[in-house]
Amino acid sequence: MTARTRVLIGFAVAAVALFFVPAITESLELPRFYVIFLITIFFWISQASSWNVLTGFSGYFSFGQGAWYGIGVYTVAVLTGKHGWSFITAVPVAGLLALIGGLGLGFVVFRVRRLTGEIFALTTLAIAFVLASVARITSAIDGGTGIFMTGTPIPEFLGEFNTAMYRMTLLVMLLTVLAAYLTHDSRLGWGLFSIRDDEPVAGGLGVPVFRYKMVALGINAFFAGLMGGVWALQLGFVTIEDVFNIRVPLFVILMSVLGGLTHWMGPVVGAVIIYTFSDRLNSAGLTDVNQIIVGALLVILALAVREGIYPRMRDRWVTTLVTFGGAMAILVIFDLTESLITDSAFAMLATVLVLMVPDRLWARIRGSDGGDDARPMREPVGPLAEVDT
Amino acid sequence: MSLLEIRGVRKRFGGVVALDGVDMHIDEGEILGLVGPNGSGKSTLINILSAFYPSDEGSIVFEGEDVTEQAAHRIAALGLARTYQIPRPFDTMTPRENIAVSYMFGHSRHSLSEAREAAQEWLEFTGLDGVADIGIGELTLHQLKFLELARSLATQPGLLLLDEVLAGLNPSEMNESVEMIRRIHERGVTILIVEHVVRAVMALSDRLVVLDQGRVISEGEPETVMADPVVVAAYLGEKRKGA
Repeated sequence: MTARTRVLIGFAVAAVALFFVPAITESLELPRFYVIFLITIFFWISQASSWNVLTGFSGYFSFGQGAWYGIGVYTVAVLTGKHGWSFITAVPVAGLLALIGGLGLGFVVFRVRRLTGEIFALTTLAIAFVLASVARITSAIDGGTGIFMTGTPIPEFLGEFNTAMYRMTLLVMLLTVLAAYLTHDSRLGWGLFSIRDDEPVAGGLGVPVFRYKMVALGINAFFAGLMGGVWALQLGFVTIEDVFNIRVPLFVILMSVLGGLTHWMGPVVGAVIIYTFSDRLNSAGLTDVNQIIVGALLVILALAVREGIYPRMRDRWVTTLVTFGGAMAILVIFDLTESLITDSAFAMLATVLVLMVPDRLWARIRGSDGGDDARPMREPVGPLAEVDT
Repeated sequence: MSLLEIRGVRKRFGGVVALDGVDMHIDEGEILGLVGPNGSGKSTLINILSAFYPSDEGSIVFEGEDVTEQAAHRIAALGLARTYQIPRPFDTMTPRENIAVSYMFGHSRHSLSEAREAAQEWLEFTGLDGVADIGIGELTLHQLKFLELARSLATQPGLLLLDEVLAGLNPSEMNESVEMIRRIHERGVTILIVEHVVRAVMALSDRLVVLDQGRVISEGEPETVMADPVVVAAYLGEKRKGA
């Protein structure tokens, strides 16, 4: 069985398992916020994963996530709220318009050699500001009044509101992560990695750098817009201030950096951890210090685990499973907190702390002589790892 | 018809004229040595041929196709590869991955799984199979130079531009590299070698081109060219300036 088959089977299993979660929580009479919690997690996984295809893989640091997300939200808000489109037809249009926006930007900035590094980052940030201003002064889009989504019916076959939102965010999340995986595990991905490492050299070796950067930005914008479109309904009332603020671009960066930029699973792990912490801090009434705590956590993690938490999880997967599973078991059996989400937040915290133990110290704890294990060996990642097996 | 035809190529950087109307050609199957004092424009010429940056004037025809305005990846697809004087590996990748990437792109498209086998072949050819899966930071300069060779060879070039592959190597590593270049040539690759170590160029080249101040000042059989008074003056002139 190849690595790809294994991953695709994993995807299928995860998809089926997650699909039945709302039904299970309902039959266990668990509170509704579990489902809402997962909906939000799916949103962030999708945003972070799509961002990472551009920034993590190709190295072009983007602050523009809010622009693609915003195009998605407003496309659905305007088409359904003002023109009576059905939700289900508006969502794909949201993805397509974001895609067109992304490719438009890419066509300009990727043609200009000087627009790399900080200048690229600032250009993408500016795009979001420009779009916000355009939406604010154009009454056909927003005009500063906001758009109510409450009159938009959701398709009946998707079930009641939360179930429908759950199914749609789950689908878009799975598609985004699948796209990120397939990009990572292909010529496209390796071309992007080589652009990230040394773009002129990559070009000289035959990597079509312009086209590949366009594709990466296209994937980023499309999935960000698609999820934005679905999210319009979750927001209920869409305003410029809510949509085009720094929250989305900032959080996708935090999540991906924490999880690890180089692997497609990095943003998934980062999104789950950061959103869980942030949600628990909010519900503990610590909304005001929430961002400070999450920010401090990120600084500590970035210093302790530069490459992100996911590569560590993979290298020490037994430890990860035992710590998380053990902590969960203790918390649940002794009923230490009021909800499963709090349990998992504590279990994640325990796991992250254990994973923060540096490689060198780790080797000593494990009883090795500090030889080979102490020196982090670079593992061949991706499909090329199979050479040795 | 030669493999590569360069006509009237000029390049200036601000007020400095790096190439001042270079005319030269590379024939299929030869090893052409390109020599000249420091700052004579050798590296600039390689950078222009590989579309690392554009020329200001002139034309370049490769494999019968005008590539003057072409993007770097198209030139690579036509079968031109180069090495860098200071090795520039992809440093988040292992040597194996570096080679695999260039095989996937390069002269023709290949899938990931084909790249796996091809990388092994070039690792063995350059003797890097022992260090195939370690971090780039752990390689010696000699190994990095060989990785440059392996990576450019993996693109399956018809023409290989070698930019000072011998610089910084000790005598035994140098001999090893010269042997390597011969073996590459035996596989049917045309080679342009830019080199400071004149002895090595003399030993390898079928033909020599001498650049000075952005112009071709002499061209022909290695022995004849090195005895050319113009060439001697250019080198001695440089020495006098440097002293």
